[in-house]
Amino acid sequence: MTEQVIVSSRTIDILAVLMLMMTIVLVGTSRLRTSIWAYAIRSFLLTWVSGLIAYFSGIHHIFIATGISLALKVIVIPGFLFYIVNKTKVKTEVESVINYTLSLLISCGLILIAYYSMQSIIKFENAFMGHCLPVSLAITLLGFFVMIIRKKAITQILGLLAMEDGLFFAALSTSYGMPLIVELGVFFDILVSVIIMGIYVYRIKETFDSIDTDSLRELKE
Amino acid sequence: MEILTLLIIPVITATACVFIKKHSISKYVSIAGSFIAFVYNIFLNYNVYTYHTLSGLNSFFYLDALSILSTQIVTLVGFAAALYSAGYMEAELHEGVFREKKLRWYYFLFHMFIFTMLLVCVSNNLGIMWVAIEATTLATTFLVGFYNKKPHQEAAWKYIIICTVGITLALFGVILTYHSAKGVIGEIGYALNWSELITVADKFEPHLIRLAFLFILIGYGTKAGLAPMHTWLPDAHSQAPSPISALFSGVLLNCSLYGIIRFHILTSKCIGPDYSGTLLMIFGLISVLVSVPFILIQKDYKRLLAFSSIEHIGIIALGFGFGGMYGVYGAGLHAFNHAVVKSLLFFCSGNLFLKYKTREIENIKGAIKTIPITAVISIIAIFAITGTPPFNIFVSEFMVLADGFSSGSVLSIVFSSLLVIGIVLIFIGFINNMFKMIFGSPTTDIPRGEVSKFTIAAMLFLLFFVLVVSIYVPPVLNEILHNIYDIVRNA
Amino acid sequence: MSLTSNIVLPILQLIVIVGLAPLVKGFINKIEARFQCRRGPSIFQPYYNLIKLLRKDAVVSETASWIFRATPYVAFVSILIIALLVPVLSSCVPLNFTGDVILIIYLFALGRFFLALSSLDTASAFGGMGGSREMMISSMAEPAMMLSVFTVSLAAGSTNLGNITSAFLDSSTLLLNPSLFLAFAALCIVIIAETGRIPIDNPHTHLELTMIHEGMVLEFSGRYLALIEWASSMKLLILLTILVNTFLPWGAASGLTFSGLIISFALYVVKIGFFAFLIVILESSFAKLRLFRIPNLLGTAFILSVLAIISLYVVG
Repeated sequence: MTEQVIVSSRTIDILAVLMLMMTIVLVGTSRLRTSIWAYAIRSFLLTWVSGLIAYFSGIHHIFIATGISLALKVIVIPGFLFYIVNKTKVKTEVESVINYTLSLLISCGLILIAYYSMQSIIKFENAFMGHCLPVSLAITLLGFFVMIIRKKAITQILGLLAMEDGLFFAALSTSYGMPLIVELGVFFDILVSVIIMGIYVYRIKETFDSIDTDSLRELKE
Repeated sequence: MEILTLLIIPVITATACVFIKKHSISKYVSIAGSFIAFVYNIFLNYNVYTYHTLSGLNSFFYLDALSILSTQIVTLVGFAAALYSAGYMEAELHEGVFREKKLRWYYFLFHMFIFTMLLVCVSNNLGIMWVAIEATTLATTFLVGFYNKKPHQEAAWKYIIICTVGITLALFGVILTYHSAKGVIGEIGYALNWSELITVADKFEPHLIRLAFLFILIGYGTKAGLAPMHTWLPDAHSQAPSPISALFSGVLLNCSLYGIIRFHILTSKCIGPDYSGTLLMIFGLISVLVSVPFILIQKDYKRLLAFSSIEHIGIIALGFGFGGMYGVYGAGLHAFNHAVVKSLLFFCSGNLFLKYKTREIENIKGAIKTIPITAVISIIAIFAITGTPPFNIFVSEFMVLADGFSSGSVLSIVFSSLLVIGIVLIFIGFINNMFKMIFGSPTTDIPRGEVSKFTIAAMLFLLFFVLVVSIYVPPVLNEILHNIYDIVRNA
Repeated sequence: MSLTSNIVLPILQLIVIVGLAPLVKGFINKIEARFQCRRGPSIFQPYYNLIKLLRKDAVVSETASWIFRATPYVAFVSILIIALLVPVLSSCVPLNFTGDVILIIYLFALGRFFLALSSLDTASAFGGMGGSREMMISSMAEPAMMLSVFTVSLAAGSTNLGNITSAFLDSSTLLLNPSLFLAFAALCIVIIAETGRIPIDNPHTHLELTMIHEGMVLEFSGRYLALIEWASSMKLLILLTILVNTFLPWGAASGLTFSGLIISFALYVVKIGFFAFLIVILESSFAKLRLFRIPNLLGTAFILSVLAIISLYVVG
């Protein structure tokens, strides 16, 4: 590998780890706004990686995906979430089912699982951008974890977005993203699903006077 | 081009319905649109019958026997549901449950829902298939929460969250498949096309494909209602308007299962059928067994039907998992039978709800006297759904079981035995719960008579198919099912 | 190793660490005052304080044993030894042959151990409280520190700080490692905890309930206090030096030429100044954490360091 390749691969690795740290912030923070900011920053880092990969590989469709990702994930979706938070006037403390230290320990465990499960694949891939695949899996798992432990509806959306980011990153780092048409479809789905969920957050707040998902327990056997 | 036409029909219908304010007109537009789609699909059916596969728009679309079976179910149940909606929604409109303005969006989302499901079945690109499956969730969230009260919002929220999470996991499976395909095919644009993938699937990296199938099974399995990822299903099915519940149960679950089967075939071709087949069997059996206690103790008849859907999806998964000639043939047939019978039952439940305004089994008595036609059809449908001879579901369940017992592996035999126990228990639960509502004497304040002609028409339409397939499998369907077996086996 | 490196370098290094340490403290205090729109004390105020304290008599509690008298010397000397184990201006380390980074960690622990003992020795209520809190924090900070240091050692292939610095100087891509990035983040938190800065501890407070480090040294006076204060400011400088010379080694002289040392000294001052400035920003923008929230922060550091070492092990 040439020097330039090593440097670029390592830079992407560092951005990946920064993304992971932003996801840890999402797990750890008790403030709604901080978590939205963490999402915006992570999306920005993801866009950055995407731009770097587009630049180094010279594949045109990644540039397009980068541009859309910048517009959508860094600006539109965080903006929309802030709008929902302001509009519903919810208390911005987020309660968690389990305490901080335990959730941090569990997320540490999840990240370790991600690294170990990807170990064989990384060796197979010759350690080029070796952190990307484990980090993307870890972000996905952490997003899932956040959805389980957080009670606020908006944090569940953020967890879901984290999962999607992780997968997007996996696609980007393993195979330079999906074919453009698929990627456009995925972006469209993400946007529409966030909007629908936002509308439901608003409706739930109107009807239940709270966006704690704990209040949603009428339907059971 | 033919396939594109099939997709355009529901889109046009949906757009038209938005602009028509009066329900008295829009219901006919909706019925006409779905009828055209139904008829057109039969035409496509004969094309596939002749040429085996059909592709279109620069091989963006692809139809083979597996997809034509799914589109057939979509358009058939879609037409019946459109017919039923006309009566059901009109009745609710007259009662003032919602305003007429809202119905425009009901029909729009209804036909968009049909469109997304058709897109799932006809897209060649597995990535687009993912997008379409996610789009079915997005199109239906507002339909689940249509009445917009507390329980409906809760159901809609659970539905969108759980399903989106599941489908997001499936995306990882798609990405892994793409990754391993790119290593073999190289060319970026076509590396997710089913028609390309199936030719090179044996060269994939085995451990990537294993992981991919696991994620796909969990992900699409969530949408298909396989236990233990089924938790959204009873809530969504019971809170949605009845025609939508029918579409959910009969069609949507099949569409998601269709996605799993596609990957099952790929995985089988790469590493042999044992791995994915066994996984399908395990999840299928869990689904059947999980639904048993809930059916036995159920108090809400729509939830009961929802759990029954979990059971039948489990049986279809088991059939594909066993993987023999009878298993696959039976599973395909079962998908069709279940779609028809379950939709019919949801229509019956909708009529019950319109009449009695409750979903509690306890509060309903004497349906045979108040709504005799519905009650008679329900009795047939209940016997059919529980797998009683001579009805169609008995045939397909029997085929699946026969394959399980005759395959020779201990696991299949054990699973088949458990399946028999499950089916018997579910039969008891069904008969016990449902017949309480049909017989007995109704409380006096319930007026006699059916609510709407449209609902009866829709039910008779479906009943026709139930009875036909009970007597014999039509040659077209037979040919399609044989082709499906060829597709699965050739992997 | 020539004569110069054996004699000149140790002396130079001691002068820099011992001499500059109070200045760093003064610098932080001054900028912090500016941030709060005060004029603040002179940047040389810590020196005046030390001179004042050295001139004064020490008052020692009647119940105190020899441990109390020995503690300031132990604390000061252990820090002095560390000062010779750390690469400051060049990647050569005077006491290279005696010990490595593990020794440094334990020398820090030794000083802290004696301070905690002496805080109990006088039987003052605040001393015991401060001592127990300090030990609690360090018991949580130490594993994180160990793991992140080991990560660095694994990446560089040596536990010797001098060798680590020169390894990173030699290969420009070695430092571009995400695992080191995680280790760096963990080490930053640990250093804040070890030196008792906000948000872990407030070095300016003498409010009973919030004191941690200050509570521990409350009983000391006169020259004893001077030694302890001096040692703690040296500790801050040494930890910053380790951070700077491990993660940003550019400019550190590899040989011992005069011009090389001058350039290296200038860069060193700039880098230390930069980190001191970061500390100021941190202290001005955060409030001190409540005591029972501290484990959260240190837990984060621990997890970052675990991730650092695991990811290094898995990915390399």
